[in-house]
Amino acid sequence: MTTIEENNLISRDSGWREELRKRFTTKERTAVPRVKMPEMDAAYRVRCDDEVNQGLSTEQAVLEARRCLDCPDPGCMKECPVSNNIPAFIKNVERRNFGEALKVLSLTTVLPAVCGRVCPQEKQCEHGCIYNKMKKPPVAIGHLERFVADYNRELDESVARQSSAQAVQAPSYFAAIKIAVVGSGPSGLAFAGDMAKRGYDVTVFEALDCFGGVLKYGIPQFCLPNHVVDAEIEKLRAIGVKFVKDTFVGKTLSYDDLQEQGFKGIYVATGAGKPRFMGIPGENLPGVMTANEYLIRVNFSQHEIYGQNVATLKQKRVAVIGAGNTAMDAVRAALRLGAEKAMIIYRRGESEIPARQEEVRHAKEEGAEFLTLHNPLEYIADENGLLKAVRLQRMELGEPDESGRCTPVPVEGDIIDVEVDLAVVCVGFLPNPPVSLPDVDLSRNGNILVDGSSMKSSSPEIYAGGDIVRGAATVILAMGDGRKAAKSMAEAFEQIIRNTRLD
Amino acid sequence: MNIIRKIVRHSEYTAEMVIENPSIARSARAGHFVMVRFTPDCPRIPFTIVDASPADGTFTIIIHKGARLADLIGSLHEDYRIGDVLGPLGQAFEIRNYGTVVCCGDGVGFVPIIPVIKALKQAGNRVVTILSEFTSETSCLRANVEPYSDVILHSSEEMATLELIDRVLTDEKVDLTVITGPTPMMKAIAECTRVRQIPTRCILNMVMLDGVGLCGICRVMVDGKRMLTCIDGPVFDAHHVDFDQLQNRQRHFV
Repeated sequence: MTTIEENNLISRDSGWREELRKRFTTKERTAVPRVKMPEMDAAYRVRCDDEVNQGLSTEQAVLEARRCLDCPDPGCMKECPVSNNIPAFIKNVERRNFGEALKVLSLTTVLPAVCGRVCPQEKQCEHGCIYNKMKKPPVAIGHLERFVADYNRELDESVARQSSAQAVQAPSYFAAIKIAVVGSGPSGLAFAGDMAKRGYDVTVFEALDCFGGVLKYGIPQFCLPNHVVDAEIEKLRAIGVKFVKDTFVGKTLSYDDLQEQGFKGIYVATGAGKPRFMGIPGENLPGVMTANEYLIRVNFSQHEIYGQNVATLKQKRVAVIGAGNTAMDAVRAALRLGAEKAMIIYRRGESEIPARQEEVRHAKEEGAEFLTLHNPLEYIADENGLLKAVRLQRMELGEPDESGRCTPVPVEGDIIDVEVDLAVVCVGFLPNPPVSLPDVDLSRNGNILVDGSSMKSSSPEIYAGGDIVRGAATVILAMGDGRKAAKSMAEAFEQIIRNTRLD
Repeated sequence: MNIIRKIVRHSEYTAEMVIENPSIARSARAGHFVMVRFTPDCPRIPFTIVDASPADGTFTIIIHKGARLADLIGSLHEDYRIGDVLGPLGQAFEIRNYGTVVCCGDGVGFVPIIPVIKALKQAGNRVVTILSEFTSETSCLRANVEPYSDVILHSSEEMATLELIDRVLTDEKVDLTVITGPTPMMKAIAECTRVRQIPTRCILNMVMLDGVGLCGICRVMVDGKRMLTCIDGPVFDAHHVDFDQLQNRQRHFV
């Protein structure tokens, strides 16, 4: 698919790249300090829903792009689950061709504005950056990705869509092939984008009344504003992807219905949103909420609980169980709703916290307390049957387990009760039960089993990816699955078409 | 899609409406429910699918003032387009010929049992219907079940529901009991049928945010296992539901 123009855009050997490399010496480049993302003041931001990270200015972005050494064998790309051509997009930023930078990103990702915000860069691209070897902070790849996406989106918006024709695709050979995507989260969107670009007729079905899946109902606005997600969805609409809401495939429409309606390929990306519990006493008390209940209420502004109002948590104490990204979202949301005390309760130590570093830092700046090495044993009710306290077992770190993390072991007899008004359980998610999938093999946990290289399930027309396959993982891995599935499904169709032609 | 084709106001409290949505009409079975969001400002509320006509592409729900919709009920009219309707959700009631079935519900809490009564009758069961309240608010519901009930009884000040059901269970051989309504009543009836070893199903009516298994508000312990009413229910074996815990949750959520 690589055209000459595209090659010029991404090739390290193209003239402009070579010229750009010569413009500054390595010494000059490495002397530039890593950019600092402009953030809203912590004291101010906990009182509103505005996005905390304000985004880089153009000059900040160009300067940060200069830090990138344009390595011949870039480590960053190897760590990117969707293999974004990171040096190529950064060098386009350095030469101020922001539109071209987006084109580079668009070759591999449909959600740059989202990934620039929510990817754990420190474990991925930035982890592979050459600067780490020099004991210097890596190039701020995530911030730059976000800059490129935001810059172009704002440009589009200011042009007021006068050129609404985003180069409408020429009728494709594949336009007669209807593809259904079940679920509009990151994996489904990535798949839909790739298939639409290849010319297929793609329809995305969503059970809820808005598109974006976990990007909408899970991640709060102060991390990922809804308009950013909507803009990415609009871009997909512009290339021909159809979106259908309020449709629960397997209930509203069966998989047989889809096949009857002529869908030749189905990508199942229904995610993992079923809440997990620890199985300890008191988890069903009023006042103990799942992460989803809390975040859906926050994100969809359904603050009013029947008979109990969480719109204000003033003078309330909130315990968030767990220390993943969801837990950070919940604890920070609680602070924004006015909680007097909001704490993370985590059974391992500080350095084992799985959430993104930036989120942990933001949570701390905003006043969240971290009660590490404590594990909930029980939720205790008051005389009215409402949550009153959580009983915690103090832990200490033992030997590292297979994952390399130290196993927490209880400290015998060291148990405390912490008084709380609300507990939010964020200890992971289970796969959403796929409803009446025909002939698809599932794991014991309810994950769809697929061939890892093609994302193909045991049923010939059905592919699957994202959290429904992996269990709760990250946005970028879900997207990676979507792209992989699109590639292999498209190849399968091309194969069929070739074979039919030969006949 | 989602247009109100017909609306019948049974009382100032209760309205029955026929909504056009061919996919839901085609797939709906007794026991299923829909999540409805009338306008973007409304919460998403679960409603039992009371009836469905695949031929007309419509289904019926009954909404009640109690669902915090007092103002809304007044403003709804025919040809009104509802913002969002998702369904059919939940597991269908297992309909077959059990023999004699006693179906018991209370007031507006009676709504979830209406489609079950109809389907059980059509499957050849002898249906004894017990309405545990009989006021102007709910009298309208009688018409929905009368054609499908071999016997209709209603409790009164002289004869409480529990007494009434006890008498029915004494007088005839009952093969299945289906109950819905307030949790304390379901608990009491479940105890009564447990002693007599009569299989009993309850249809739970719970608060939900999404209806597709995400929020977990509708969780209930059944036989020691955590179930979600939205995806595992709303019908459960009443002899295994932890009604005490349910009641404690509902005191704060209803």
